Amino acid sequence: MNTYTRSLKEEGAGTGASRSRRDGTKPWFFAFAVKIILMCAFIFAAVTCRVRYNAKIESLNKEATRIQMRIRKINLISANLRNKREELTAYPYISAKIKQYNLGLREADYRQISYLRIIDLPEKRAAKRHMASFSGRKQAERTAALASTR
Amino acid sequence: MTQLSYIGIRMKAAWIVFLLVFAYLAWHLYTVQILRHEELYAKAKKRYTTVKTSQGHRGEIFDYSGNLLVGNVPCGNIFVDPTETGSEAQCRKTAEFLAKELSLDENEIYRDLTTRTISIRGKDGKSRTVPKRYAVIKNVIDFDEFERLKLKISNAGLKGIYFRNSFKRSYPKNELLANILGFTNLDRDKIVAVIGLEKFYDRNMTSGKGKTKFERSRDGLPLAFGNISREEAHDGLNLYLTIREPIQAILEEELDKLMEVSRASAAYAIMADPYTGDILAVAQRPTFNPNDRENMNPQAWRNRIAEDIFEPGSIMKPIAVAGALDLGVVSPETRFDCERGRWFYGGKLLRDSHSMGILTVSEIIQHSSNIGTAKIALMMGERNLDSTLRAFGYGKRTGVPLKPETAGIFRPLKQWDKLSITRFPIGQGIAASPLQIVRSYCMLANGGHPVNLRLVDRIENPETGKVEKIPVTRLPSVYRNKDTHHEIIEMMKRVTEPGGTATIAAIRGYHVAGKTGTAQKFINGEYSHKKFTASFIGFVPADKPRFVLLVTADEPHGAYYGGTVSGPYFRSIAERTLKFMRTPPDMDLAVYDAKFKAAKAKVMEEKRRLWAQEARKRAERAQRKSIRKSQSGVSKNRVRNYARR
Repeated sequence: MNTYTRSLKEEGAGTGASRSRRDGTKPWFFAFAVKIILMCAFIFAAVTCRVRYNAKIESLNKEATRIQMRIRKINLISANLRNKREELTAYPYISAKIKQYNLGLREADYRQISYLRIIDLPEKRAAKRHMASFSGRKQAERTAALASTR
Repeated sequence: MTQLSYIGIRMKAAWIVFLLVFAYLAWHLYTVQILRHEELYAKAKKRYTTVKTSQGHRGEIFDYSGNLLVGNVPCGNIFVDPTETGSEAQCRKTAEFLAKELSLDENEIYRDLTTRTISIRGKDGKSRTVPKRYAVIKNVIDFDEFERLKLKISNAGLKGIYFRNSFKRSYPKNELLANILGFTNLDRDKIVAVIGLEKFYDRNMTSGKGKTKFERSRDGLPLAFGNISREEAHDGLNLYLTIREPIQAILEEELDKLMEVSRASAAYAIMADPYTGDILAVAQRPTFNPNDRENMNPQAWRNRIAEDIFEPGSIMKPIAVAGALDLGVVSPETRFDCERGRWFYGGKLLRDSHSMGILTVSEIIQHSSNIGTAKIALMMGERNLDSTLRAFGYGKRTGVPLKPETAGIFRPLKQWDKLSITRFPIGQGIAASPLQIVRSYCMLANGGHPVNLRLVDRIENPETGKVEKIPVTRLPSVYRNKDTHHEIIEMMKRVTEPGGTATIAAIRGYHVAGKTGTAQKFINGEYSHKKFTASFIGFVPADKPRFVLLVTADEPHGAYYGGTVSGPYFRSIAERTLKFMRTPPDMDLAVYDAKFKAAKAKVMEEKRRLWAQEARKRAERAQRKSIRKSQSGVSKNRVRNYARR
């Protein structure tokens, strides 16, 4: 007989077959497995989160780089346009065009210019009007209130 | 042997294998982590670490109001990595395509594409062959063209072709203010300032390099959690000049007309604010276009206004007379005999342009009498004349940010000869730069307060927005007598009034104070009778000037008088500038016209009187001659008769 063969007859079937069953509780490995599974799930979740988080950061990073490159390009375009604007608005360029197209433009003569002195500025006038209408409205309200009390 | 012993042996063997593997791994780990740590760490770091350099923008130059005068414009470079260009057939195809698009020689491009190795000499002196990874196909391509080419080449799917954006210096206003602004050259990747403000402020305008070191992913992008060390590139400082671009354009336009009409060899004009010393506009001819390097003439680079000197001629007279008035040596009504245009002093003849009799000091300025001015200077004395001219800044640099700047030629008092006192006040024997002359007239215009000419108004740091203003210096007046200013202005007004030497420079509605200057050029040790410098300098409105303006034509052909050559352009520049500055006329135009007409009539009356006087004298002379002739005829007959006897 194999020495490793255990005899159910000798050792008894009901004594050491199952401790848990004997105690009336769940098997021990079930609790252990649950713990392991929970731990693994937690680690898996953490790693997944981290990986997703990293992936998101990387994608945002790429997006930021793309936007930076786009900004750089827009800056280049705007610098180029600014330079062109300066060339086109330069006085020599404009006067050359006036000459080229024979435009009848000339500087104004002093006889055509008269200097006006604005005594009452428009905004001041508007403010005054507003003040006047406001005080008028208040007066009307006050009169109405007095009439009602009487 | 039992089964148990077999298990034991297998277990032992497994253990041994496991231990050996573990030992090997431990050893490998030790080697990698400890023994070869530095080497492998450096290798790895080199693989995933990238260094990116960036260059800030060179400072830009603006006019007073912020109009761009010198800027940086984007451009592109196309280069190739010959190790990636593929087979020879592919290279030929690429070369053909690029040559067509870039208008370049196909064979040259092909050579660049197929030269895959380069021989370099190491530090040990031995030459070795290394792969060539870089060859420029075309540099500095205009931005729009570059973008178009980039798209086309990318679509063509050519191998090994790369594109890089960069910036080049641009001068959007072309010739406008070119001599003052200067220009830069490109020496490989380095910007070298050559002349003008670009050179003077090179250190301030030069940008700094930036360096970013980061750990990258496979696609070359920085890792989010990698180490990044960053040294920011910084932009150069921006200059804001005192120049007003519209006025500058007017000045340049009128100077071109002057060159066309007078056919002068050179011309220049400077306009300055007499109270602050701000140079509002400055131009010279010949000039150059900094954007067109092929047709650039090195002779045109020179900054004539700061480097060149010339004898100012009659322009000096008001300075000397102002000194004499201030010292109380003369008054505007003091009379001097102008010796009918010829006067010997110190054994040398001094002439006037035309015969003049007895003139007041005001008339000496109005008619620009050399003899009258020399006599005033003699009354002042050498020491006073010297101190007056030095007080007005002659012999001293103006301090404008242009290099080199001349201090002019004005001998120290000890080295004066006997003639100096009669020649310096009429602008002979003394040489000054146009800037020095403008500075002295700024003093005449502002009541004798010395000013430093300013060309740069403020310097801005584009990154911080910090602005540093170049201070305006205003020193106490050099005049001791408070009436001097008013008196000299009144005299100078007469120059542009009827009877003066520059009526052509008068501006309708405004009082113009000015002075003409016609100087013979000193060539090979003597004064030339063919080559002149014709100038006019003045300020408007005379009593409260908005600007001082100098217009000079060097060696004009035909007419050569300052009033005739430069006067009309002074008037047109000043008139247009006054309109731009919205400076209303000093007086009503009808009143001005009436006054001008009356003054003209008075001058005509005076001229008629002089002509009549001249005619009377001529008749008297003729009569005297005929009497003498008849008398001599009678006496000759007598002699003849006596001899016969």
